[in-house]
Amino acid sequence: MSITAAEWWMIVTAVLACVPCALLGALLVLRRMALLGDAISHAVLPGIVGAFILSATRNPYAMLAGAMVTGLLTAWFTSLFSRYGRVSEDASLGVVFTTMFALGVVMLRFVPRGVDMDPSCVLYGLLEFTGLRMVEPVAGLRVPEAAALLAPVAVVAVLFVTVFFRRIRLISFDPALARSLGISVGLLSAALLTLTAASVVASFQAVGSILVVAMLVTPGATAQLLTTRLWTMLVLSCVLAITAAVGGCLIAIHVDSSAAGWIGVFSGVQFALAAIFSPGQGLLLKRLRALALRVRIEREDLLATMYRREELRTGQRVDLPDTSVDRMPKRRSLITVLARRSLRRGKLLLSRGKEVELTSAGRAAAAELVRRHRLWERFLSDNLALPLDHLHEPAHRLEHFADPERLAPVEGMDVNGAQPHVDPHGRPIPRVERDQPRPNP
Amino acid sequence: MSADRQNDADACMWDELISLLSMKDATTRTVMLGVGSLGVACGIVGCLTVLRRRALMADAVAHAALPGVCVSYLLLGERELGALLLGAMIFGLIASGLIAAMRGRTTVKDDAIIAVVIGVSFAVGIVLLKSIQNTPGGNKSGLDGFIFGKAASMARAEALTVAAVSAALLVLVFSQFKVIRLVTFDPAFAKALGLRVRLIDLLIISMVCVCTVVGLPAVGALMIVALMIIPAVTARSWTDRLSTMLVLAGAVGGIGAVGGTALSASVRTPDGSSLPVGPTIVLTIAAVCIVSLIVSPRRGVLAGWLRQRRARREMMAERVSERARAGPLAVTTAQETNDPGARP
Repeated sequence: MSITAAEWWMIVTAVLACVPCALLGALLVLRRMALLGDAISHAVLPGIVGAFILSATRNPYAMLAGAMVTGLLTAWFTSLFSRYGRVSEDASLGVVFTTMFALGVVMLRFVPRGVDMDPSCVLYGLLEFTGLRMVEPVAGLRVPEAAALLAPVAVVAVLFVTVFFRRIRLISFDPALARSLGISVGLLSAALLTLTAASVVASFQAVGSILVVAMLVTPGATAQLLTTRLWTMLVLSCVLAITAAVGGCLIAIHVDSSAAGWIGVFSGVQFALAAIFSPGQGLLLKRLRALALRVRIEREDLLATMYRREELRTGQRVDLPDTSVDRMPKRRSLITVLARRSLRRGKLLLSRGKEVELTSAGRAAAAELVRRHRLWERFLSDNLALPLDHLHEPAHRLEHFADPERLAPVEGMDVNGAQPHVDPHGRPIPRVERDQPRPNP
Repeated sequence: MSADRQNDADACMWDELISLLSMKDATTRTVMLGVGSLGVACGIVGCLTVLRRRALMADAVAHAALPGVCVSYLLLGERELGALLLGAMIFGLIASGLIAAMRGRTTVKDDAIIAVVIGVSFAVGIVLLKSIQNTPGGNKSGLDGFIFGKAASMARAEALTVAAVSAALLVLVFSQFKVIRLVTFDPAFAKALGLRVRLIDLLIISMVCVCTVVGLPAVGALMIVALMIIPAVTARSWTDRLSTMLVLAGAVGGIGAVGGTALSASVRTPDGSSLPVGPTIVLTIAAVCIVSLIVSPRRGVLAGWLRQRRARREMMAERVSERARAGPLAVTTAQETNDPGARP
């Protein structure tokens, strides 16, 4: 696959459009203003068309100015609306940006004939044609008009965020503290919003309204799934945007389709992958972690139940009504199967025909668990004065997560003293040899 | 000369507007029936989403409908309206399901997720649309009409379907009114009563999907959400009762849709074509909304301003009278002025 010069320019333009959007969009995502970005990118349409009708030329700076005005008006109208209309922020956003967009579409019909501006170019952008319209800003350097407009915006956006990084971080996470430190939050927010509007407008012409929406929010949200540090998040967001721009353009060239659309799809795929596989927050990993926890709890419950059975069989324990002994799980769910298998693998459980038995290592591990359980019951009864029939449940939960002996000094519990040889029900608390390394259940 | 022509054009426009609104013509009646009932249904369903603070969820559903339409066109290979709308419905439900599944699970907040779904699903839609247009005959598929809508070409059967679906939605909302009201205002209490809140939420979001889908051919994916949100916000500025709000929003939606359609057919642009219907409807309803936000008696801008002025005057008067009383006799009446009961 060979790439022509025009296609190279298309890729460069796409990257130049995506980087400032992704960078400033990540800040919007962080400050819970993602939908405001969406709204601004819809609402710049009447500004662009209005400037176009008034100036009667395709002067990019007039359009930039017009769109900035309507973009900022949207932000202002929205706050006005939610104050006076007393509706929630998102509803007032919805009213303002759909109205502005409708106005823009209607105004498009009043654009004089013979000018290349129509709804589809507004929606999809003109990325495919960037190579056709070249300008020469510096002598000897011919670049596409869109790139010439986008490059300074991208540079300014990156510089602004880098220079004011510490302040931006402060107003994003703790505006009250920022204010008390004498940082003018309003001014910085307004500057960020203006920059956002500027990069939306500049990219709008090249890539269309829809891609702007996708590129403002998606890389930022993806980066937020992958990291918790702001600096990393911003860099990641830009990297994701660049890969999406390049990848989307290459796919579009290859299959002869809309570049703007493919860039959006590409970054959507990035988001989906991050949502599923992200190491910190991925839904898959969270599922697996929860499954592992359930298997561990089931395994421990199995061991403890086996221990209690042995106690009953060997007569070490008086037969008191105990709910947990009969709870040997009959159903073979995935969890119990996994739990039993890991017990057999760890040589804690032996199968003899239909019966299962504890090995000595298993018995020690089970004794540890039952000891925890009964110590907790002791503690709950002695220190919190819970009635006898309310002891089992909390102890049953606590035994998996907290070792009462480790907590003992903190809680003022007397675990090894004379008192707790028996639990509040009168059952013996198993003793564990302390000089040996503890078996890990 | 040109002023005369302008006047003629204006007169022509008014004549046309009036003749459209009087609905003498059968085609006009059909289109108006379809658009009007769509407006009513959207207005009523929109109230539920706005009150539940899910206004922009409807936008995500509407944007997701576009790839749905394209996918079912690609599967079928022809423009079968029912199947296209079924595809839109399925994709809308998938989008809302995805948003619900991500909600609260990660550090990415609701609004960002909704914005991602809006942007990405539209990008998918454009890619699919482009690949349809590249296939032979794909250019005539008319699928791009689903973006901005084409109400003027509404067939009789389509209009009747829209009307029937809207009627069904109305019956559903008003028959389940008490349950919906409870879930809207106090979901925790509704849950405590044993109502299945998630089922009702699913019902509401499905109604949003249905509205989006039946409105798609007429108003388009980008504008349909306005038909739901704006009437609801308008109605909210007039009343605090849910029942009144539903009726008002339905009325605003219906009247706005009919008026907007008539307006779009009668106004001519410089190149002689008519205005796009969806955006004109949105602008009409938005005008109603802005006016009612200004003049509504309790929440309006005007009322707020008057109330503030009255309060300021009362405060001034009170202060003046206090000062007058406390003036020369300040020492003797100090006790009295400190006593709140002694105030006039």
